[in-house]
Amino acid sequence: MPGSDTDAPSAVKILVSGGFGVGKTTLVRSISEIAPLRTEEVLTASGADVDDLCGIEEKTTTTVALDFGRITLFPDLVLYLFGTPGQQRFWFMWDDLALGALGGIVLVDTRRIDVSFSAIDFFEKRGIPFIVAANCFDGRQAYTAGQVRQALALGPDIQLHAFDARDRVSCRDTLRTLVDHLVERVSRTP
Amino acid sequence: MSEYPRYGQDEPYEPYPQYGQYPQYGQYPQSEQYPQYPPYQQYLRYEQYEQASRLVRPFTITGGRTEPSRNIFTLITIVTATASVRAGPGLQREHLRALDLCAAPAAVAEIAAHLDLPVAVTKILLSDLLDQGRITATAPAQGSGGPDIALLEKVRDGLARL
Ligand SMILES: Nc1nc2c(ncn2[C@@H]2O[C@H](COP(=O)(O)OP(=O)(O)OP(=O)(O)O)[C@@H](O)[C@H]2O)c(=O)[nH]1
Ligand SMILES: [Mg+2]
Repeated sequence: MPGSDTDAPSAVKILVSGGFGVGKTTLVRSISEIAPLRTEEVLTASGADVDDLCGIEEKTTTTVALDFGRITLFPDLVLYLFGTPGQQRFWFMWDDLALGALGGIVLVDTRRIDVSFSAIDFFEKRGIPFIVAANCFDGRQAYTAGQVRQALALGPDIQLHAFDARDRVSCRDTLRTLVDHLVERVSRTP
Repeated sequence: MSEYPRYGQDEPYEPYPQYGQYPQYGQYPQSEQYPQYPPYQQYLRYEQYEQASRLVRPFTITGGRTEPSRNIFTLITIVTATASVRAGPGLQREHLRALDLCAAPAAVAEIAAHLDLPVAVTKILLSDLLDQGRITATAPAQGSGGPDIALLEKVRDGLARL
């Protein structure tokens, strides 16, 4: 890469996704070494993507904001966690966000599972490996793992993990569950 | 007997009161002249317009350019200032702020967040700085070749130490 500097660390990223209010920012805040930062990108949606909404065939630009945090794993390796926007419809077109992600965590609030469907869809379409993490909002899960799996139509190869986004150790363990899964997945394929 | 005309009784009906402070009959715009409530599409266009003008403004910082000179930056490309040169031809306030922000290595996303500019605008500013040799760029650890077992194991080990 031009102007590359061997002393600077390189970075990896993991996406934290799920519908609105499922705890994405809370997870990032719990584990990040910096206060979560917010950034935005300008995306262009083609007519085909918007005409279900308004019936007009034209390009539209939209801004998508996300928040993210940082974890320095080693002096030469930094992990960034990107919380994808829950209520914006166009974030899944943000190629730079999707490309090169190690994997994703789909957060679900078991009381309203449906808000996280599109996040699962996104990872499946983009071919990004992911796990599902059920946030314990009332200190407990409203449904059994089997019920959540069924509601989300999760295949047996997709891990389902229960956690609390407000708890740092719980968030760390969720990340570890994902990365263990990623390691295992790569070692399985010759 | 009321001095006011009652509706439907005295034709033609004149709106009241008529004390000069209101437009006289005929001065009211015909109903076709009233602005129509825009259909939903027009609201969207207006919204798009608003958003577009909000988005276009940051690009004035880049002299109207919407593409970086080099397409090498990603959200997690790490940029590092090479020297603390404080001035130079064509350097704007935002370039200098960006330089300050990468005095210690930082990701493009961090620079954008601190500059409070869209990522696309930030990438253009950073490519200017890279062209001038004022920063270096470190590519993401995971290349385009897909998952790399050694890298994943390193991330796993790093998380285990947290
Ligand atoms: N009880 C409980 N509350 C939580 C937990 N995680 C998040 N919350 C709360 O749920 C609310 C929403 O959490 P956020 O982290 O803002 O959710 P988000 O996914 O970032 O939301 P959007 O960015 O709006 O899509 C906040 O008030 C959190 O404090 C959890 O594990 N348990
Ligand atoms: Mg949030």
